[in-house]
Amino acid sequence: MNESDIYMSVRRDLMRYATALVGPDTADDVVSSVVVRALARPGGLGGLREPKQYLMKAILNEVRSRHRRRSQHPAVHADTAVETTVGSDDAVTNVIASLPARQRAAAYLVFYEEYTPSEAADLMGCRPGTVRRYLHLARAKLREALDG
Amino acid sequence: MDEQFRDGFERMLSDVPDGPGWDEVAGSSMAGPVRRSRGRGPLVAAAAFVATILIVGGAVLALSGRPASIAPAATTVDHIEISWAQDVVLRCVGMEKVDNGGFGLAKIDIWGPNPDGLVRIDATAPDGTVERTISTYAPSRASGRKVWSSQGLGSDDTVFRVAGCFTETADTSSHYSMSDSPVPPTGNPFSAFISIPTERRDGSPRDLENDPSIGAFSSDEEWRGIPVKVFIRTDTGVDDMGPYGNRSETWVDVVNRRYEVQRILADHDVLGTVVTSIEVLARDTAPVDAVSFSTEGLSLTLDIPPMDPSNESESVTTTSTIGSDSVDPEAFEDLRSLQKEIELQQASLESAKQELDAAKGTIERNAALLAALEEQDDPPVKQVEIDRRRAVLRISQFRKEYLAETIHRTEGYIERLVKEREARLAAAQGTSG
Repeated sequence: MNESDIYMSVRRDLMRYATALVGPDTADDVVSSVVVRALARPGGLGGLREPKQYLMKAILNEVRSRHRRRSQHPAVHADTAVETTVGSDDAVTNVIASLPARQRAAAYLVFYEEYTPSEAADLMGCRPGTVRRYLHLARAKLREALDG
Repeated sequence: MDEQFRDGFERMLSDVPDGPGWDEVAGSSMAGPVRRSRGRGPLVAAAAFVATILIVGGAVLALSGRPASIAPAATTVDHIEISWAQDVVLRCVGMEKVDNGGFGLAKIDIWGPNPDGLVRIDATAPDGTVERTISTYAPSRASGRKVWSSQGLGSDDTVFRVAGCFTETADTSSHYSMSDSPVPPTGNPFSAFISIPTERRDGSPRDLENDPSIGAFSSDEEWRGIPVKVFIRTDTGVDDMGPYGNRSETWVDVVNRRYEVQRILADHDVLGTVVTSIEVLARDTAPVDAVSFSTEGLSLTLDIPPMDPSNESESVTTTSTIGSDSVDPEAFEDLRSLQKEIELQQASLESAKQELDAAKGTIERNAALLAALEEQDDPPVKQVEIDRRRAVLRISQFRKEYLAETIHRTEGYIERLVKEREARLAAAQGTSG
């Protein structure tokens, strides 16, 4: 499988993940950035043992990195601001949108993509226990929103 | 609840864009990472090129302009690469949570010591940010110590996660650190992985491979060359610190004459939980002129003046090895070897008693210093020093308990040896009579 085939086989998954994390308007910029960087690696996409896993990790790092830059230099990086709301009246989607990136990633991977916490931990570069804690925090936030 | 999340994501993802096409990303990759939609490719590539020129040029200038701090080219220094990960859960019962939200992951490179006694530590964050400290490791503790750092003392100046609990009453405030940057501006615990030649107070040489803040390693002759597992447990009783008492446990696997994996666990019932995992990924040497020990551009963040030897408060470290139990007294072939073992154990017992007295003295001195520090009003340096003294106290307390246990076991062993000797003497007399 050449690099183009590899990319096209995972593009949909990457875009869905990025959209879940930053919304539709910024998702393609995030995906573009991480894929371009992966292509610049020695061996490119073809040199990756698990391209999808690698790129999903990179997407989460990219999102966190953008969020960090934005919080440190809001004026300078106003043009690259990460969307944190989806502009919906739906309480659940608003809670999801308000979650920090890693909590949102854990919720997406486990609740939506139906990965196990261990598999999600691999994709997020952390431990399964950490994913479970993120899920616990996310559930607590949703419960609070729905009860309130 | 979980289904609600799934449905929420379904609604959010009802209209996912197709994403960039292959031609777009493949075309962009030729010019380096770019923000495709804003057409900045050429600008970013040019900036990267200029930055490369500046970095390379700066490195050349730095290397050629620092004769005082760079050793001859033939010299090599130790280099160690470490992966570092820290998971933090803040509970902060009844307190405010303080969390900068930084990275809990880092790759750490350590070089040193160079001929000037400097150790350099670079911590690289997942986003590529590098935080650096360069520290002097004086041959003697009494000679003082300096640290230059790329961060300031403020916790906001690091990209790594700094978190803890804060409480304030009418007349006092306290900050309980839960996690810290892997390269704190006041020095670095990872220097413990580098063999640093130092001197004892009497001037005799020793390898200092210990640091109380990383979990207490004894001088290397106690473990080097022996494939043992070291288990250390410290337990600060709630009698001392009330609900803020904590436990920490350290495992060190020694493989190939080096400890290769270390885990530190600190479990705080009220404050939260910190689990730090450290793994040594690579260990080699590097030419000293390939690594800059220049402190140019760094801030002097710690400057401890030389100590007055008469007022020295030493840091005490300890190691507990899981070794074989004492030998069965009956195993000694003759009276001579039995007697030799008794004398050896008696010398060991005497030494342990002296160390126990020293540990008690250290506890008393550091407790007094801690009390004096807590009365001062000089944050944040004060808090750094208080944390350090608390660590010394915890480890000293553990050492005291360890030595007391060692003395107890050695006394029992000597008692069995003496009984065996008396039995053999009695048997010999009976035979001769």
